[in-house]
Amino acid sequence: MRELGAAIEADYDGREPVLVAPLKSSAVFLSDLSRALPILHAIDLVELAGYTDGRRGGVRLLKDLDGPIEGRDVLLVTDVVDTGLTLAFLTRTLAQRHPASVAAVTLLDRPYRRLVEKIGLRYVGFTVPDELFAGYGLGLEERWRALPDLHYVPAEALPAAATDAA
Amino acid sequence: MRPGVERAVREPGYRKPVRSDTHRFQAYRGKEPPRFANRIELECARILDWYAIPWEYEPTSFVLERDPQGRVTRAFTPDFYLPDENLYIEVTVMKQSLVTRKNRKLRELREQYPDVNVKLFYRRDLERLAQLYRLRLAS
Repeated sequence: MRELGAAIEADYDGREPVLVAPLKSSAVFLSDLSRALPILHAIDLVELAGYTDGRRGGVRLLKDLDGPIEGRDVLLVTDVVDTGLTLAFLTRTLAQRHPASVAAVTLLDRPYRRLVEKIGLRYVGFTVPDELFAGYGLGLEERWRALPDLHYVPAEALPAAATDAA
Repeated sequence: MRPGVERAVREPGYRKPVRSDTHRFQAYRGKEPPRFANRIELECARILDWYAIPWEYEPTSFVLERDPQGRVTRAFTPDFYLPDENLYIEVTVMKQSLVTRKNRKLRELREQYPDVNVKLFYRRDLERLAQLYRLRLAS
C-alpha cells in the first residue's frame, strides 16, 4: 500500500486528485490507499447497478458522485480488474464530465482476462492468478466481505453452482 | 477481406440457434440478426451490450485447413468480434481445465493468423460480472 501511495504521490504531487471508488468491494482498499497517500486528495463513491426496462438493459450509476469533477484529476480506485468492462464503463462515463484526467489503480489485476484495453489502468497492487479471492472488502455473494485480510478461496469451499463457474 | 478469411460458414453439428430480438441490442454492429448457438452466448451478448461495447456476432470464419482441391476442411469462427478493440472472442461454458480442444484451435488460429487478436471468454468471467449486478445466468 505504501508503494502504491508513493507512486501516486510522485505523479499527482500538488494536484489534489479525487479518489473515486465503486461500492462496495473497493471500500476497504480505498480506505487504506487514502491513508497511504501523503498528498491532499478528495474521496467520492459511486455505485453501479444493472437496469432493464423490459426491452433494453444497461449499467447505470445507482449512486452518482457527490461533487463535480470538471477540471479535476480523477483516480478510480478498484479492487479487481479482469475483463476491464466495468472500469471501461466508469472511465468513459466520468470522462464525459470533462475532468483534467482519469486514471485507475487496482489492488488485484488479471491482465490475461482483459477484453477491453482502454481503461487507463496506471497502478497495480498485485497481478494474481485466475482464482477467487474474498475478504478485505471482496465478497462472494456477500459472504466473507468483512474478513480483515485477503483470502484465496479454493473451489471446494464454494457452493456447487459457484464451483461450476470457477 | 484478407486471404483465407471467409464469411461465417456453419460447421457440421451446429446446434439449433437461440432466438434473440435484435432490436434489444444497442451495441450490436452486425447486419444480420444474431442467432446464438446457446444461451451463454446470448448472456455474453447482453453483458457486452450492457456496457455499450460495440460487438458483432460470428462475422468471420478463419480457414485452418484445406484439402488438395482447395476446399475448406476446417475453419474456426470466433463467436464475437469487438471492432473497437479489434478483438475476437470465443465463449466457452466449460471449466477452464477442460478447454484443451478450444485452446488448441485458438493456438492454430494464432499460428496461421498472427495478426488476429482472439481470446477465450469463460463462464467464470460472466459469473463475476453477473454477480456484480445480481444477474441470473442461464445454467
